[in-house]
Amino acid sequence: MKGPLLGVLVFAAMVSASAIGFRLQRSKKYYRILLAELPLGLITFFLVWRATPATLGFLPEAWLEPSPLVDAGAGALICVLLFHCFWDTVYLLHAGLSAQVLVAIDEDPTLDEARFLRSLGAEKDVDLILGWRIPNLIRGGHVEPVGTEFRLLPRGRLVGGFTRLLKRILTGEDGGG
Amino acid sequence: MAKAILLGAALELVPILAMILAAHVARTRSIFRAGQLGFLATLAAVVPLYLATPADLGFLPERFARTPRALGAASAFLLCVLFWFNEAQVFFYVTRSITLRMLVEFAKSENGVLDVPHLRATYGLDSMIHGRFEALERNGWMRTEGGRRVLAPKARLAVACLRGWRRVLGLDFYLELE
Repeated sequence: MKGPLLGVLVFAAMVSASAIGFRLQRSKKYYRILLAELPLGLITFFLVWRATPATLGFLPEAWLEPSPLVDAGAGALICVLLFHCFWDTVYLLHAGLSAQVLVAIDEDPTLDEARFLRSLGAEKDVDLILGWRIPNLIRGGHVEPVGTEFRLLPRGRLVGGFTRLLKRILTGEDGGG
Repeated sequence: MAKAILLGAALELVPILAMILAAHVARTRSIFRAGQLGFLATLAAVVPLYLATPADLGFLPERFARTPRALGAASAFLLCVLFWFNEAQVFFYVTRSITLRMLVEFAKSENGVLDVPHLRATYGLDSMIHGRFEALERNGWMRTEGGRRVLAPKARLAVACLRGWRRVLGLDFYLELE
C-alpha cells in the first residue's frame, strides 16, 4: 500500500509543480514542462519510497505488500497512469476544440457554426487550425513543405498509418475527428 | 499486487472488445458508449474475480503472490479504473485528434502529398466544427431552441470545471478566437 499511496502523493506534487511551471513559462508549450516532470517525478517517487518505512508510520500490517518490488512497481505504475490522465486533461483544457466550443456557447448562446467558423478565420487562406497544426507537423518532422504542397515524411507515415489502423479497428472507419 | 495489476490490465480488454463489436458488428455510432458499458461490466466483475481466482493465478512466483486479499482486491479495482481512463484517452486521441487526423489524410493520399486546398477539402474546418456541434447535440450536451443554444446541466458543469481547472493550472486556450 505504501507504493500506491506514495504514487498518488507524488502525482499530486507533480500537478502542483505543473501549475507553477505553466505560470512561469512564457510560451504555451506546456508539454515541455510535462515532459520534464515525468522522469523527475518518478525519480522523486523512488527516492521517497526508499527513504520511508514500509508502514509510513501509520499503515496497518494487513495493508502492506510483502514484495518490495511489486509495491514500488505498482506505485510507479499508478503515478504514470495518473500523470497520463493529467497530461491529457491539460491539453483538453488548453487545446480542446470541443471544450472551446462549449465555453464559447456558454458565453454567447446565440453562437452558431458559421460565426464560430469565422472566429477561426475560415474565410482566410490559412485558418487558425491549419496555421497552428501544419507548422507543428513540420517542426515534429512529420511532413515537409515542397513548394505549395506538403509531403509526408517517414515518421508521419508511421504515425498516420498506425492511427489509421487503430481507427479502423476501433471505429470501423477512416473518418471522424 | 502483481495479480491486481495483471487482472486489471487483462480486464481492460473487455471495453476494447465492446467498442470493436459496437463498430463492426452492431455498426452503431455509440462506440464509446459501448466501451463505457464494457468498463462498468469489468468494474462489477473485478473484485469477485480477484477473490475467486488463485493468489498466484497459476503462474506467478510465490514471492509475488502473498498480497493480503483486501489490499489486492482494492488495488485491482483502482487499477481497473485507471486503466480505463487511460484507454478512453487513447480512444479519443485516435478518433478526435486534429493533428492525427491530418496525418491520416496524408497517409491516405496518393504519394503522401497534399496541399492546403486538398487538406481543406478532405478534412477542413467546416467538417471539423460541424462534427463537433453535431456531436454535442447528439450526445445530449446541448440543444437548439429558437436560434439559441441551450447547454445541458452536464455541459454547464463541464464548462465550470474547465474554467476552474484552467484558472488553477494557469492555462490559456491555444486559439485566440477573432
